Amino acid sequence: MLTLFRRKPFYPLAFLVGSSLATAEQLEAVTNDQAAQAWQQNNLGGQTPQLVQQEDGGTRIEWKGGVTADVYTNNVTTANGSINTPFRSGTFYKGMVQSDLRGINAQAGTVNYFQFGATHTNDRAVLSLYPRQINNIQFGRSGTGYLVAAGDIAPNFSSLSSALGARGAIGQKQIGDNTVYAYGGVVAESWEALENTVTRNQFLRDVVGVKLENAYSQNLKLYATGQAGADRAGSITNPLLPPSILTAKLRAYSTGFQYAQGAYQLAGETAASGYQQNTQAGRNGRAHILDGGWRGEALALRAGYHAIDPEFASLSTMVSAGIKEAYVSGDWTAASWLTLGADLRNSKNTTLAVIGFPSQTTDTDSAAARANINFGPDLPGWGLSLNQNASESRDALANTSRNGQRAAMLNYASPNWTAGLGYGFGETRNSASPTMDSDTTSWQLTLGRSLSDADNTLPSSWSLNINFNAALQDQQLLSGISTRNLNYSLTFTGQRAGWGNLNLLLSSGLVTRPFGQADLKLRSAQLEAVHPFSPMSGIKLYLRDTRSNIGDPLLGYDESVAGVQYTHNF
Amino acid sequence: MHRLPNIFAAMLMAFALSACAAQPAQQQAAIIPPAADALAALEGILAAYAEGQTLHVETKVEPAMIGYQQWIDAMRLSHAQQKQIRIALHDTQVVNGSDTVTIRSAWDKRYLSLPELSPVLRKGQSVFLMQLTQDGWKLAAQSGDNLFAP
Repeated sequence: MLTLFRRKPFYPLAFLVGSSLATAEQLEAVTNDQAAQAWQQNNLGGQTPQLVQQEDGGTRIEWKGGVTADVYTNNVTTANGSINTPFRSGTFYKGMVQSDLRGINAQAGTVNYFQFGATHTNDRAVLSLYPRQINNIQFGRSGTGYLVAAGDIAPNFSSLSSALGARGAIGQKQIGDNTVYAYGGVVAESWEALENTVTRNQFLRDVVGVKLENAYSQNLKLYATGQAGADRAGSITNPLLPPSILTAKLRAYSTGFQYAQGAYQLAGETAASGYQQNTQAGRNGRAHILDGGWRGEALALRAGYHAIDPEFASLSTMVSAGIKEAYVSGDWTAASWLTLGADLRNSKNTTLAVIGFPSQTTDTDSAAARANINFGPDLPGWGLSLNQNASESRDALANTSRNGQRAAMLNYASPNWTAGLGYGFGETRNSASPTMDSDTTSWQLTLGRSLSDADNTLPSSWSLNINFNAALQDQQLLSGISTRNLNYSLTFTGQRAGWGNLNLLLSSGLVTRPFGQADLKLRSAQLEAVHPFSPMSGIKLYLRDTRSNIGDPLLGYDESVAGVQYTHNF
Repeated sequence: MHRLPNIFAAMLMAFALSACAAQPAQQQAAIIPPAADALAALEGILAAYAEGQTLHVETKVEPAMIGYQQWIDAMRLSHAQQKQIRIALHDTQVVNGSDTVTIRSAWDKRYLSLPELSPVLRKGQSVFLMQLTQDGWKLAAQSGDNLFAP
C-alpha cells in the first residue's frame, strides 16, 4: 500500500477533485465508523479503507496495485490439433496490471475510488481475440447515504429484477427511510467488443433500471424495481454468425421484501415481464420467489419456493426460466461430536412452447443427507463424514432418470501427519438412454507428512510437506463395458525463510478403455521455485512437463512449459 | 468511445508518475482484492469438477440458487459420461458488485466421451455470479452456456 499524501494535495486526476471539494462545511460530519460502514454496504466483500484522520483534516490517498510479468516457452506436440490441448508451441509473454486508487476524506466520510486492471499478451490461449484486454475499470464516489460509480458496474437489485454486469453508470441515494438506486449502460462481451476492436458474437444491449427501497422498520425492507433492455440492431459483427439472429427487447417489474429479525430471515419477490423478439409475437411472464431461514444455536433451517414462468425474462443472471421448485433443508449439531444435515427438494422444469414443439415438463424429486462425526478425545484427530444423495426425474414421455451417490471419508489430522481414506458409490439410470446406465465405485487415499524446526517459542525457519494422493474410479456400464481411472500424485513443498519456496509435483495415471484398446497413460512433472526479493516483490521459475495419452495416435499430446514470472505489488 | 480505454490508461499512468515522485513506497502486505478471491473460488469449483469431486462442488453452490437441482443433476450426469475433463478459461473479466462478483469468461472444455472415449472440444461463454456467504464464496448463479452440462 502506498500512502501518497499527508497533506491536502494537488490532485492530477479529475475524478479525485471531489475529495478536495468535499469539505466538512459542505457535508454533514460523520464518524469514521459510519463512513466505513457506508463503504462496506456499497462494496461488501471489498477491503474497507482505513479512515485515518489527518492532522489538517485533509484527504488521504491510498494506492494499491500490482504488476505481473510472465515470459514462457511452450513446446507442444499433439496428435489431434487443438482438440487435445489449448496450448501452442512458441515463446509468449503476459503482462498484468491492477490498480486500486482511493481518496479518503475521513472528516466528510467519503471515499473516491478508481480501480483498473488490464492484461497484455501474445498468447491466444489467454486472450483469444486481441493482445490486450481491459479486465475492469471502476471509478466512483461513496459517501454516507450515497454512491455514484461508472465503468464496469454490477447492479444487484434482487433475484428477479437486475443482477448483471454492464458498462455504464450506477448511483444510489438515501433520503430518510427511502433509498433510490438507478443504473444505465450497455451489456457487451468486453470493453474491446464495445469499442469494436474485436468482433462481437452477441448484440450490444442497452439497459436501464431503477429500484425504490423503503426501510419500513428496522427489520423490514420493501422495494419495487423496474428495468428494461433492448438489443442494438446490427451490432453483431462476426460475419460467421447468421444474419437471421433476432434482436429482442424486454421490460420487467418486480416488488418484494426482506425481513430479518434475530435468528429469522425471510425474503420474497413477485415479478412480471414482457419480452419480444423483432418480427415475433411478444410474450408475458410472471415469477414469484420466497426464501426463508432460521438459525438457532444447534439447529439451522432453510426453506424456499420459486416459480418462474417459461415466458419470464429479466435482466437478472439468477433467473432460470421455466423452474418451479420447493426445498427445505436443515443442519443440526446433535452433539459436540455429531453434525447432521438434510435437504429435500421438488423441482419442475417446463420448456417454452414454440411452433412445432409444445411445452414439456420434467418433474424431479431429490434428497440429500450428510453426517460429520468427530471422535473427540478418545480418538484425537479422527473424523468421519458420510454423504448420501438421490435424484429422480420423470419427463412428459414418462421416461425416468435417476442418479445417486453414497460416500464416506475417514480423516486423521495431527500437527505432523494427515491421512484420509474415502469410498464412494454412484449410479445413473435413464430409461430413455439405458446404454449409458452405469455404476461407479471410487476409492481415495491421502497421506501427508509435515516437518519443520518450529517449537513453542519460535516460528519455523524451514518447513517441508510431503503429500501422497491416490484415486481409483471404476465405472461399469450396464451395457457390459467398463472403464477405470487410476491417478496418483506425490507433492513436495519446501519453504525456507528468506530463500522462498520450492514445489515439486509428480503425478501419473491411466484410463482403461472399454473396447480393448491400449490404456491411456499420463505422466506429469511440475517444478516451481519462488524467491522473494522483498515482501512486495518476487520471482518465480517454473517447469512443467505433461505427457497425456502416451502413444495414442489420436488422443496423445505432450506439453512442456518453461517460464519465469516477476511480481511486484505496491 | 473508441479511445476510452486509452484515456483511462493515460490517466492512470499520469497519476502513477506523479505519485511515485511524491512519496517513496511503503512496504505493506500484498493486495488481495475480493475479485481475485471470487475468481479463485470459481477456479476451485472447476478444478474439483474436473477431478470428479462432485460432492465438493455441491458444497460450493448456493442452495437457494434458482434451478439448483437441475444444475446439480446436469453436473452429476456430465461427470458420469465424460472422462479426462479439462477446462480452460480465457478472455476472463471480473467485476465487483455490491455484494457479488460477476465473472464473464469464455471457456474451452475438453473431454473423452463415453462409451468410445472419443475426444470432444466444446466452447462457450458464461457469466458466473459469485456471492460471499458465511461459508465463503459460492456460486449463486450461472447464465449463458453451461459448461457443466452433459
